[in-house]
Amino acid sequence: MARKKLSSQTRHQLQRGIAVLILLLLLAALIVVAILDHRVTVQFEGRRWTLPARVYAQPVDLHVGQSLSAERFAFELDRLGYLAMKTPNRPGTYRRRGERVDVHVRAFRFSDELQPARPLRLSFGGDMITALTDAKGVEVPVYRLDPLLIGSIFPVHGEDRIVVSPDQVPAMLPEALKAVEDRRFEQHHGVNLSAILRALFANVRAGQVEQGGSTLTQQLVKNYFLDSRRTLRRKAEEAVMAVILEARFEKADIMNAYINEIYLGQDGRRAVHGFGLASQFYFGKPLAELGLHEIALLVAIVRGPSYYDPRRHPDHALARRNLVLKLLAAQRLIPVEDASRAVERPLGVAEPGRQGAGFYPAFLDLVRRQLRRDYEEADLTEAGLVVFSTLDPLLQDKAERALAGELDRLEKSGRKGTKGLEGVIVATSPQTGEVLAVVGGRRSSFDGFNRALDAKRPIGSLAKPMVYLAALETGEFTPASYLHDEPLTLKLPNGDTWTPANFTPEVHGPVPMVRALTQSLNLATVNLGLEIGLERVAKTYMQLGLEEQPNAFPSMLLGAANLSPVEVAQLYNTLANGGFRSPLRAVRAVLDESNKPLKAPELEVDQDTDPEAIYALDRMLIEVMNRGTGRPARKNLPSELVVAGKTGTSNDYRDSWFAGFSGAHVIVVWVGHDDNSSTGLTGTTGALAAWSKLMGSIDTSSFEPLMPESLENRWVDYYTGDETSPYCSGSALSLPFRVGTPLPPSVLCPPYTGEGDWPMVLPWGPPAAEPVGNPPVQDGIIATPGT
Amino acid sequence: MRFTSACLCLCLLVLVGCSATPFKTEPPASPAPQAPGEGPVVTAPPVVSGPSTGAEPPIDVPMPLPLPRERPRAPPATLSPASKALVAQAQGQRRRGDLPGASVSLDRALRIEPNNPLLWIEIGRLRMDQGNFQQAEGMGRKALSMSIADDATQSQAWQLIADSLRARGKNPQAEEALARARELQPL
Repeated sequence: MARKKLSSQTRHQLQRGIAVLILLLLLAALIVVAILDHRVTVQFEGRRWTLPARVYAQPVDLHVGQSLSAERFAFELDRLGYLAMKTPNRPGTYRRRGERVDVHVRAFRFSDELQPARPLRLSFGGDMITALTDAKGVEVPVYRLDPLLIGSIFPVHGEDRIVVSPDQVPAMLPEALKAVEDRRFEQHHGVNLSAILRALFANVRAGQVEQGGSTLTQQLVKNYFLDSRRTLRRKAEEAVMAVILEARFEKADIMNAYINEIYLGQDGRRAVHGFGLASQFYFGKPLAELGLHEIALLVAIVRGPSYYDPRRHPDHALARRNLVLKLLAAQRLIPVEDASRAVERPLGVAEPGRQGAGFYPAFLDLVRRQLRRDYEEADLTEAGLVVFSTLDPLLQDKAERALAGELDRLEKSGRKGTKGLEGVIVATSPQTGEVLAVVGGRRSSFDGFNRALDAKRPIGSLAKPMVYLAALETGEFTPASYLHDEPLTLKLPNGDTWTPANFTPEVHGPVPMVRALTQSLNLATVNLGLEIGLERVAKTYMQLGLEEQPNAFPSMLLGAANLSPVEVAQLYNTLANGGFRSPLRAVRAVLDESNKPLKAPELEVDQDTDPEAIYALDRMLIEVMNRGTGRPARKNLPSELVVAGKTGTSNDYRDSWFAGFSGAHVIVVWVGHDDNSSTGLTGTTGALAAWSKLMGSIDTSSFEPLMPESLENRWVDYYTGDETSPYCSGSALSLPFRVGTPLPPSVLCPPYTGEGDWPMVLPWGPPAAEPVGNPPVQDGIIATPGT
Repeated sequence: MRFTSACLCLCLLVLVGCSATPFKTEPPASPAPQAPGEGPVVTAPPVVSGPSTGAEPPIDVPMPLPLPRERPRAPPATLSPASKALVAQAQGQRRRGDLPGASVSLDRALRIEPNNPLLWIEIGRLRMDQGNFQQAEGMGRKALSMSIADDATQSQAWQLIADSLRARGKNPQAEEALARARELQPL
């Protein structure tokens, strides 16, 4: 009895123990589930790819007098997805008949208003819009086309990936994914037991892991935590998280996340995630434009991005792509004929590095950074923002082509150091500081390093205008003032000595300022900079819009300061804008989901530089293009186009720069190597060619600033700086001076005073731009500091 | 030498006399920059030094070349039809208190005619409404730099600058700016 009592007590205890254990286990499981729930939900919520911010290029604002040909306009409409039709009677259609285009403009919500759809009639003549009316023939002064969508981004995540929203995904893609990877996707709750069992059976039979039973949801979870270890524990965790995800979110959200998240290949150091980026990476075009065979290839790659890499293993990829196509036909998702036609197609993979137009990672990165700088983080995390950017897609495409073309040409020339060259182009609008184009490299790179913003390199002679501006601002110098192109040796604070030199071994002695700048003479510049003071020169950078003052070292005078191409663009934008500083802007406006504009930074102008000094400097920068280091650009430019600019070359030819502007465009080009090795190129032989090809191919206007009334034009001799007459001196050039400035008259060809002798008028008009008897000028280079 | 140059000069003047354009002594000095897509409407007409239109040199007697003298004045700036429409739209938006909308409209006009001083004055007026008086002055100064020799436009720009100075309590400077506005005002 006692024994029985005892045993029942023991049993009781045992039972209680088991119950407690189960409870504890349950609790532990609950905790684990709660932790996993937290992890996966946070991850998913933070990366819900349903409503990214959509970024638009600047719209084409149609108006009479706009320079635009009918052909170009039709191209623009095609790019926006307008359909050419016999009778353009609904929004999004057009008809071109020679020089006449009828277009039914789509409705579009701009940041200021909902612009309604509207039929318009345009006439063109001489590459210009000559008439713009509505359907009834009533004149329309100005009307915007809906802008080009250039990308979707998540402003807060610093990731360079092309996010696609469901409407940008071809309908076949999710269907194909389900058919191939997860047939019961619509039914299961995250895991598919029968598929797991089937896979297990197959694997046991094969004696190795051969088949996966993962659902799309499980694959997505695995992708989030980027851990491909196939341990049982991982598998179990994955399964639990998949179930949680399914319980918490809609199937459509999960599918969309999958499409934006899944790993699809490797581009150098950068993983290619998401079908949007993969589409650019493999085919060089947006996802929405892919054909059946291309979609099938991407779906094939999902299973094993390295085994099925279509570039490295085209045979594997082709076999699996065709298998995918057969599967789709077998499941009646596509007609058998379509499948067999697609099977016949080649892989169609674009050459690596030729990702094609319409993909702007460097510009979008700038947009993302400016959004984060200028807007409240809370506003940016909202879903469905619309961002109106300043990108000019036409200019961007031309800039990409100009850079790639020139770098290819340099490489083919076989010159030492030109293999594997990289480059950057930044283009801005001088009056508003709007960023019109950013090319971040020879190929649209995915590796996250944005050269235009992050590559800080010595600017070489691009620094000289800052020295001359500082000098002119003192009021003690004019463009004709003598500078001393004489050797010097400086003792540096650290005990080193510095012996700068000119590009050529020549030393020119006293030279007028205009010649020193035009021919980029190093010694004259260093002597001048030391005379007026380094601190003063360093401050000029700030006046022109640099955020941080460069170190006031002597080598700064020859461009030892490291700046990014975008920073250089800011400096030269201010030079091109008459000294008015407008911060560079890539974003014009942002609308939230309810179409309410977010508070945006507006156009600003600040003037900290002396208008007379900047005008005189700008006129000298025009001379750089007419007779100095920029002269070789002329062959690529329309003869009447007035431009200004400066070459730059850093030590040992590591960086080749050109920064210059017309009346409507500032363009900065950098050419160099990522590893900072020598290119063997000067600013003239490297960057200038890409600059001039681009400047010569765009619709721009001459740089013709108005002269302040306190100044007057006088003729001076390029070599002596003496006042002369254009009618007897081939080396005379007209430069601005404050009214009444005393100038020594030229001995051989004094200025015409209106008395005495008649001036001899040269039958060929104003003086030739080419300096007489002067060899082609080369860019100055910083001499290596001596020891 | 003297003879040949005189002959050459004479020949040239004959040629010039036959052509319709007046002879200039200087290279083209700063005509109004035209932005891409800019209409045929001249915004700030070129400031040309040298003889004014009409007076062509006689054929037989060589004329001494003109010396620097009083600077020619430029006719007042005007807006192209497209920017006029956008400025009107912006003014309507300002009246309704839609300042962000007005800003967009003026930005659009600026893209069409970036060098038109009248647009910069309009933006300055908008900045006044927005309470950004310092930028209003900046816009006024920008307009001044683009309307050299155009007294009517300069007068408007000085008026804007005067308003922005007064709004910041800088009364003596505001008076000075106003005086310049009055001085340049067309009769």
